[in-house]
Formats: sequence, C-alpha cells, structure tokens
Amino acid sequence: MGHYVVRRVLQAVPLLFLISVMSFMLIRMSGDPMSMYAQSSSLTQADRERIIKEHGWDQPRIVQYGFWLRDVARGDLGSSLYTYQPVTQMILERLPNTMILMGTVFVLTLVVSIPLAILSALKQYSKLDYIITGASFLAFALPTFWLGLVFIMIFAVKFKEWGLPYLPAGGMYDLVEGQSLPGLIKHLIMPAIVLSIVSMAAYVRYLRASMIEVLHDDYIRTARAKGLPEGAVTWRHAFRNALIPLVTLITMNIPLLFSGALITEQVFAWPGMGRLFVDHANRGDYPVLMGLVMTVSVLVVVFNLVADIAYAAIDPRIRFGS
Amino acid sequence: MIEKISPVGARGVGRRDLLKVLAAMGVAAPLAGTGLAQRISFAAAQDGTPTAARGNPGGAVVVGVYQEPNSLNFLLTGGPISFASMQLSPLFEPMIRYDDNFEMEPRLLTEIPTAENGGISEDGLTYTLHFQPGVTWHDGTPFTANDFKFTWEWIMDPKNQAQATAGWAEIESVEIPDDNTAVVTLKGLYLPWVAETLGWNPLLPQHIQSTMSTEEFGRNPVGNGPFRFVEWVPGDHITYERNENYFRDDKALLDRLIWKVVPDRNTVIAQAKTGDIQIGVDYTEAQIPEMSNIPGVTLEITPSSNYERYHFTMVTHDDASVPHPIFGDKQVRLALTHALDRQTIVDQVLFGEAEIAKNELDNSPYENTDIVPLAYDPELAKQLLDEAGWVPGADGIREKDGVRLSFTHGTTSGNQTRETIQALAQANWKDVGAEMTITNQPASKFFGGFNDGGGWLDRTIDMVGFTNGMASSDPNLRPFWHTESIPTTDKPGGFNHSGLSNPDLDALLDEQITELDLAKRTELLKQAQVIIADEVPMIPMYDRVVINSIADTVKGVSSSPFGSISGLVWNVEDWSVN
Repeated sequence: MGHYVVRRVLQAVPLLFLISVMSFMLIRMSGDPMSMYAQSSSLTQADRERIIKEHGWDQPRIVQYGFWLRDVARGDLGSSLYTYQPVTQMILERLPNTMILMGTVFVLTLVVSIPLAILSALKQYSKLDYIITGASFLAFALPTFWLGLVFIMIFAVKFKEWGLPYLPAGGMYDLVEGQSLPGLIKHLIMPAIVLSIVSMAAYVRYLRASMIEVLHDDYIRTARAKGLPEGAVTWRHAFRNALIPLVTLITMNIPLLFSGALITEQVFAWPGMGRLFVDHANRGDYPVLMGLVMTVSVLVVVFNLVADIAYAAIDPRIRFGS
Repeated sequence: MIEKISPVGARGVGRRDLLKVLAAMGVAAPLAGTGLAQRISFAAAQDGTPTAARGNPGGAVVVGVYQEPNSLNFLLTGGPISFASMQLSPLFEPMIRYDDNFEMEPRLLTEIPTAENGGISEDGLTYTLHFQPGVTWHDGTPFTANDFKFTWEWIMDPKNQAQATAGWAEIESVEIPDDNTAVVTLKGLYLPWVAETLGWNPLLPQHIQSTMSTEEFGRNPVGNGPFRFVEWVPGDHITYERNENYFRDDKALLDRLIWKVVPDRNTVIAQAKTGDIQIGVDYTEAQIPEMSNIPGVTLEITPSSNYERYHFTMVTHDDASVPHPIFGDKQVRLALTHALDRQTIVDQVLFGEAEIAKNELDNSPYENTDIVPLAYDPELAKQLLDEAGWVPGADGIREKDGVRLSFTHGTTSGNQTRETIQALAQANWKDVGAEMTITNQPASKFFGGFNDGGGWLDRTIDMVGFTNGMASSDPNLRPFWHTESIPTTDKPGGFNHSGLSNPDLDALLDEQITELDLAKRTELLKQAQVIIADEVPMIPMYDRVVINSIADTVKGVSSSPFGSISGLVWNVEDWSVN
C-alpha cells in the first residue's frame, strides 16, 4: 500500500510537467497580454516596447515557459499581468466563494439524485422510471448559460414584474443592505439549482445503472430466497454495493469543488474560480491561467489517488501491491 | 426611454464657428491652446435647461460594470480614458477634468496654465502649476505640491511598474517653491503635455505610496476626491462612501457609491430591470431595442471621440516596404470604399443611433470638414476596378496577374454588431467582384502585440476592423500615421496599422507636434488629413456612441462625451437619489 502510494506520486511528477508545458503553449498561443494595453491611450510607443522587454515577450515561447517554471520551482506562481497581485493570493480570495457554491451544488445533487436513482432502478421500465430517465436526459442536454438566463428571466425579472417575491439576478451579496447570511442564501439559490439540475442528471443515470446491475446479482437473489424483507434487501445489500462505484465518482469530482463553474459563475456574476479563469483568459493573463490549471491538475491527480485508495477501503475484494 | 445627447457644437454649428467661439472665449488663443485648451466642444442638448439645483444628500447608487478594474492606482490602469478611470475619479481629485460641454475645468489646480496667466513660459518649456490650498488626503494628511513631484518621480522609476509615461516622460525637472506651487521644466517643446499629464490624472500621496508597492496602493487607495474607499470584494463589488472632509463646499450627495461587477452583459440588463443596479454601463448597439423600453430606466446615448474603422493592410507582415498584393493598389482601396453601403449599416444595424465616420479627428475642432465620406456607388467601384486591370474571372471574382481579389477580414469574435456588419460588407463587396473571408479572433488574440499574432496590427489579416479615436484629448496623429510608427518585429510598439508611409505626411506630423500657434497647428493637421483621406488607408465606418442605462430615481447624471466610458462620472459628487 505504502509503495503503491509512493509510486503513484512519483508518476505524477512527469505527468504534471507535461500538463504544464502543453497548457503554457496553448494558453500563450490563444491570447496575448499585450491586448490589455491595445487601447490604453497614454502608453507611448516606448512604453509598449519597454513592457514587452520587461516581461520577456520578445523571447521565444519556450524561453518564456522556462521563466515561468523557474519561478514555480521557487514556489512562486507569479503575479497577474492585469491586477499585478500575486496569483496565489487571487486564488485564495476566490476559493471560498467557489466552495460555497459548489459545496451546495454537491450536497443538493446527492440528496436529490440518490433517491431518484434508486426509485428509478427499483421500478425499472415503469412509468416513473421513464419520467425520471427522460427528465435526466433533458437536464443533461440543457446548456447551463441558457438555463441560467431563463431562470434569471423568470425568477428575477418576471417575478418582480408580477409583484411576487423575486430572487436577485446575480452577485453574492445585497450591496445596499450589506453582507448577511440570508442575503448570501438568496443569491445562492439560482446558481446552485441551475448547476445541480445539470449535474444531477449524470448522477441519476450512473447510480441507476449501478443499482440495476447489483439487483441482478446472485447474492440479491439469495437474500430474497432466505426471506429477507424487500427493504433490507434494497438498503443493506443492493444499495451498499451499488454505492461503491459512486464513491469513486464522488471522489473524482471533488476537484470540481475547487475549479468552479466557468459559465454559471459568469452568468450569475458569482465571484468564484471559474469567473477568475474566464476573466483572465479574455486578457491572455497567462500567470493566472497557469496557476488555476496547475492547481486543478494537482487536485485531479491527488483525488484520483484518493479514489483508488477509498475503493480498496470500502471493497475488501480489491487489494493493492503484488 | 432614450435620451440622446447630441454633439450640437460639432454637428449643428460649423466647426469653424466653434473655433471662433472658443477663440472669443480666450480658450483657443495661441499657446493657451497648448494641449487642453484646444477643446472639442459638445454642447449637451438637454432641452437647454441649466444645471438643476443639487439634490438631497443620502442614499446609495449601484453601478453595474461588466469589467472589474485591475487596480485603483492610476499607474496601473492604462491612462485617463481607460475603463478603470471611471472608478478612479470619484476617489482622486483630477488635476483637470472635462465637463459635459467637453470643456476643461481646473480641479486640483486653481487654474489651467496658459501663456496669459503666466502658467506657460514664452519658450513653451516651463509650466507653473498652482494647486488648491486646504486639500487633505482621506487620512487627514495635507496634500501639497510635493505630492506632484513625488508622483512624477515614482512613475519614472521603472521598478514601480507604471504603465503609461506619456507626458511625465517629457519632464526635465520639477521645482517646489511653496506648498501649493510646482514649476515644471520640459526636456523639449511638447504640445500634448497639458492634455497628457494633467487631463483627468490624479496624484499619489507621497506619505502612503512611498511605504508600499504600486499594486498594494491600488488595493488600498487613499485619495483626495469626493468619495473615499471602503472595501473591494474581488469579482463582486467595490464600495465607496462620502468623504466628509472634502475640501469643496459641495460635498458628495450620495452616502455610498457601489460598483457591482456583472461580467455577462445579458445579466446587466436583467439587473437593470430588477433594480439591482441603478446605472448600467456601456451597452452594445445591439442591446438598444431591448433596453429602450424598461419602465423607470432611461437609456443615455452619448457620442464619443471614437469611431469604428476598417484598416487596409497596405504592406506585408515581414517587410513593411513591400506592398500588399491586393491592397497595395490604391485603386482597389478606393473601389472597395465606394462599394460599401455604410448608410444601410448605420440605419439597420445601429438603429440610426450612429453616423458614418468621416475622417481622422472626426468630430473635433481639428477636423477638415472639406473631407466628406466617399459615396456609396457600386458602379463607380466596378469601373475603378476595371480601370486598374482587375477583371472578373470564371466565378465572378476579379483577378489581376494571377492574383484573385480575395482577402481576409478580421475583427473581435463574439461581437454581434461587428459580425452583422461584416456580413453586410461581404455582400456589398461580392457585388463588385471581391471576395471577403472572415477570420475573426478573440479580443485577447486580436489586440495582441505585433510579434504575438495580434491580428489588428501584425498585417497577417488583409483588412481589420476595430474602434479607435484620438489618443488623448490632444489631436496628435503621429503615433498612428508616421512611417516611424509602422510596427515591425524590432519596433513592435507603433500604431500605424495599415503601414502607410508618405514622406509629405511624415513632415506634417513632425511639424505639428512642435507648432506653438494653434491656428497653424490646426492647419497642418488638416493638411495631414487630406493626405490620409487621399491615400485611403482605411474606411471610416461609423462614430461610436456610449450607451448607459440610468434609473429615473438617480438625478444629476450627465455624461461627458470626453473619455467615452469614464465620462459618466465626471460630476459624481452631484449625483443623488430620491
């Protein structure tokens, strides 16, 4: 077990290196930080040329990557080319906001999708199953930006027009009243529901399939044969076994808690990590983008490992090593 | 409801009359005109009513902005007419501001330096600046002329990362004879100095900035303006409150001014409808129909000094002395301009809210009004192309010496207005036998540098569309049209996008920058415009407008056409809510 973990961690180093080279090249190719100065009226020709030289943008891209890697090796993710703030500080500022949103989504998704999936599996091919399955496919196919705008249109704009209690159209806090927990919850409702609707669909489909597979296993038939009540069969035997692949899915989705939601955060003006990425991608601000990409990459690698270990822990049939 | 602020001075009255008026006011007198005195005067057409009495104090206004400022230190925001300058001027008293008549007003200064008031020496090299007495920074420390000297020194020290040095870099020395006076000596004659250095620019408090980095100060700004900084929650909002110790009698009326960051422009509309924001900033022309019928919200459309232009790439990317295979031919450039139906674009796509742009320095006192837009005349276009030897091939697209009249056209992707206009242009040009292929890039790519594939100036796209206007309030055209401003691999900083090189033009542009006599300088600039128009390096498309939404509960907002977006806040201390 110990060896296994060490080996996996060592394997991650070249992987992360490859990710960083490829990300750097792609990010650098897709946008140029000089675009931020394009319409800055007060920059003289000399100012522009000085800025290019200062940052080494007159050097080949691979050399620029070298500069970045050198700083990272010293534990410095660099500073934003836009705000001039340290990248680490910017990420830490946004992280709690994203975790509030994505944590809510995570809980909401599980609370709703698990019962739905089990119901759907137990009543396979029933009317209810078809409704749940159909709804999941529909939800899965909905683009979040569209769903977000529709929600804003209905629950913020139209509800206000109709004189009903309405939800705020975006942001995290009520600015005139000041920051408060009820205000935060009011702002959280719409983005959390929109994101949950889409992610629920995947969970329902996944758990339903897993549950159906388990329900056809021999030990379920045995349990029924020895006269266990249906409830005990479902919960003690079927559900617990169907949960094993779900634990993996959940663990591997944990990095999403940190990376945030690119589009939904944009639509609802939620100041999270996804927004940070989009805002700075629009400016070619590569130190920030690299900081975000590498943070999430490390988390993905770590939680993949955690998922594997958790899998072994809850399923005694799996052993590492020899 | 739509309220249109029309540039009466520019459109209604002749521009020559305007110059006479300015001269009569003593504003445009020679040398007084150094920089700012040469003013474009837009008279706000607000039913001719005088400025109403001030409203009642109290309340808060939330302004929705789709772009968060990068810093609240003006050294990092890219100049006085950048997007972030909107957030700066309520905090920092600018040395000079521009009102909604586009006229300058001394703020931190007691007067605008001119030759008459002794502010500018006879040789034009020494400027004497008088600052307001009794001004304090928000922490209570008195403001003095030493802060001016410190600001200059701080900007010029490269380790402080100041972006723009325009104007400041021309200073040779600063003397401080007393606490309210600074005597500035320039390295050489430089006409744009007042506009670039004093116009809208704030100053830094020496006692605070010297203890921290430029970036840290930008997150914890201490200013001297009508509002003081309270908090900045990154990605969400920035809050200001009234400065009770403001040095003027007219303190800000609002208790609080809040900037809410709303990145998605559709969400901005929704928030304007729900009243989450009282002011929405800088809508696109495509949003006009949706925005014009919101109860309780007025759409304010203000002209700006910017206009959309299509630049021809006249030389190759690798070698600026080699003519472009198609657009190196002036006859083609002329023909394509005649083939483009700009009036239809203005009427259909821009809902008649814009006008066809005419020429460089459009809508300014320096505009050569003899130059009018080339007429839409597809028959003439075909004739011009025939004469130049471009004959239709088998598929209707013209050819000459084996070169097809087929070119790429690029602008920023994802901009609905621009993309619609591209489609119309494509159809217009196809009618005369020219084939246009669209190669748009995201703004972060398109506006990139010369060596990083920035399509707007690296000449890899045959024709590029973007908006630009006067570089500052000064009409200096040299950065845009001088041969030395053609960007190349070694000198990537210039803005001569098309690669126009004309020795007569170069001479005029060199001469105007040191011409002290305003009338003579204007004459030189007008001659320069004739050459530019004659070369057809670009198609002036349409004048840009700034579109803001303002809730009817907010009083006192009267956008200044200067500085496009940031013109909104010039009189923020007079805003009030019912």
